[in-house]
Amino acid sequence: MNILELKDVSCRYAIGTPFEMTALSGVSVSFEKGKTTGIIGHTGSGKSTLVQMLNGLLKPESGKVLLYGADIWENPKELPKVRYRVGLVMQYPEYQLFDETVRADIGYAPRNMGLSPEEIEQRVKEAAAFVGLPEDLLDKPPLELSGGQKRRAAIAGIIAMRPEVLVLDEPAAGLDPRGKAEIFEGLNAYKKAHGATVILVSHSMEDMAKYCENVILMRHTQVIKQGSVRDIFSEPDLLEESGLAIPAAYRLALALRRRGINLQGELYTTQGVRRAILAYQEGRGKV
Amino acid sequence: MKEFIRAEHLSFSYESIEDAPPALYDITLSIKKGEYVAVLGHNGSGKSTFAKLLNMILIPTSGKLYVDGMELTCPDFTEEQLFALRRKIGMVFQNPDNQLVAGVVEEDVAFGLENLGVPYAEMHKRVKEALSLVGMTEYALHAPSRLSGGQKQRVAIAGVLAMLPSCMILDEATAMLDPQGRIEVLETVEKLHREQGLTLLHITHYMDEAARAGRIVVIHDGRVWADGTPSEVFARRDELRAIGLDVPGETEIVEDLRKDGFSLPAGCIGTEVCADEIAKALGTL
Repeated sequence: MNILELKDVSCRYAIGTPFEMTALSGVSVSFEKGKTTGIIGHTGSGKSTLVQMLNGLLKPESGKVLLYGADIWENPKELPKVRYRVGLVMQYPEYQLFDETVRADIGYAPRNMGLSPEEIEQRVKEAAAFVGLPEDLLDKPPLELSGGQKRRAAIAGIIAMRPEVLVLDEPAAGLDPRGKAEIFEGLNAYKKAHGATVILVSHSMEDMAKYCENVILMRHTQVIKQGSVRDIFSEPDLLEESGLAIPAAYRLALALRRRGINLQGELYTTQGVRRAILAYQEGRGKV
Repeated sequence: MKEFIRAEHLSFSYESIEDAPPALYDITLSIKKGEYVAVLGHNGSGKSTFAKLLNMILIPTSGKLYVDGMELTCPDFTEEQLFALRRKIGMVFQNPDNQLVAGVVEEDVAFGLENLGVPYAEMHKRVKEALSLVGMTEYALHAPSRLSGGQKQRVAIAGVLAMLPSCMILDEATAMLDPQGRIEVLETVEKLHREQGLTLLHITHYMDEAARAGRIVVIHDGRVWADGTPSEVFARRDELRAIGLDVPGETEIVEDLRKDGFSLPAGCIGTEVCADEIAKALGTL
C-alpha cells in the first residue's frame, strides 16, 4: 500500500525572474507503507525539492501530493497536522537547534502538538533512546554537544512527534562510519517499533544498498527510475550516466569481470560480492 | 625533503568545557614539504583541532609546534609572523556557503588579497591564475550562490591559492558534496600537489578518499593512533572498526576473503589492485 504519492508534480523557483529554474518536472512517485525508500541523484537533480513536497513545505505548481490518497493541499488549514504525520529532518538539522536544553529542544514539537507534560517527557526519552543520545545529555544546552550528538538531538526532535512517515535529507552527511551506522540503526529501530515509513536522501550508494528497500533515482528534475535496490543497482551504467558513483563492491565486481571472472548474485554490497567470490571458487572446485 | 610541520608532545584542551579530557594529547609527528597526508578520525577525535593549531586559530596548551621553521609556540611569536603563517597554510572548510563572502566569483577569490593590500595589477593576475588552476575561469563573473557545491568549494580553494600558500588543509571539505563534486575537488588539489608541490593535509571521514593520499595519520581520542601508508593503516581493519572507523569497500572484501582462507596480501588498496590480487588468488586455487 502507498502511504504517500506524488502525481505529476512540477515546480519552479524564482518564477518570472532571470533566475527562474525548474526544480521538478512532472514527477510521479509513490512510497510504500512501512518500507525504507532512498532518493538518489546528483546535486541539483531535485531531491531536496521533492522531500519538501512530502510534508507540504513547498506547494506544487501543478500536480498533487497525496497522503493516504487525500490531497494535502485541499485544505491548507490542516497542513500543520500533515507535518506532524510526515516528519521532515532537513539537511544539517543541527543548525536548527535553538532551545535552552536538549530536552526542551526535542520536546518542542510535542509541546506544539498540545501533549501533556508527562506524554512529552516520555516521548523525549523515547526519541533520545532511538537515536542513541544518552539521557544525561538531555539537560545540557544543545551548543555543548559534539557535532554527532547535535545531529542526533535534531533527529530526535522530529521522532518525538512520532510521525507515520519519517523523511530525512542526508541524515548521515559529515558523520564518521560508526556515527553513520548508529543513526541508520536508530531509524530502523523507530521504523520497527512504530511501523513507520522511512524516506531518505543520500549521496552514499553504500548506505542505500545497505539500508533501503526501494530506491528512486533522479536526474535533472525528473525521476528516471523507481524500483527495488536490486533493480537500481543492476544498472550501473544508469547510475554513472546520472552523475553518481557506483558502490565500491560493484566496482570491484566489474573489475573482476574484465579479468574474466563473472560473479553471480547480489553484487552491490561488500558481503554480496564476498559471497559471490566464494560461490565462484566453489563452482570451479567442482568442475 | 624538507620538514614543513613538526609537532613535539603537543597537547590542547578546550578551556570552556570543564573536566573534559584534552582534545589532543602528546602529539609528536612530522610532515615534509610536498607530502600528501590524509587525517582520519571519528567525530570528536581531535583531527580538526590539530588543523586549527597549525594556523593558530587555536593555541596549544603545551608542547612545541613548528611550521616551516617558525616556532608557533614561542612566547614572543609576533603578529607579523602570524600573518606570514596564515599565508603559508590555507584552509578550506566543510560548508562552502560559510566561506564565500562576495557576490561575484572573482571578487570572492580576491577577498584575501584585498585585505593584504596587494596592488591591483598583481591581484588581477593572481585571481586569474587561481581560477584557472581550479578550472573555474569561465565562472569568474558568476554569482557564487548559483554554483554547485563542488564548484563553490573550487572557488574557496581558488581563494586560498591566490594567497600563494605552500600548504593546504582541507577540513572535511568534501563532506557536503555529491560523488562528482568530491572527485572534482580532490582532482583539483591533487593536481596542485603533483605539479606545484603543494603540501596537502586532507581531513576526512571517507576511507576511499584517505586511500588516495601517500600517508594516513589516524587520530583517536586526541592521540596519534596510526601513522603509515594507506596499505599499512587499512591492513588493521578490525582495530579500525573497533575505534569507529572503517576501510574502503574493496579493501573490506579482500580482508573478508583473507578470513575465508584466501591467500591475499593484507592492506590491498584500490579497485584494480584488489581485482588483480583476487584474480591471482582464484587462479592459483
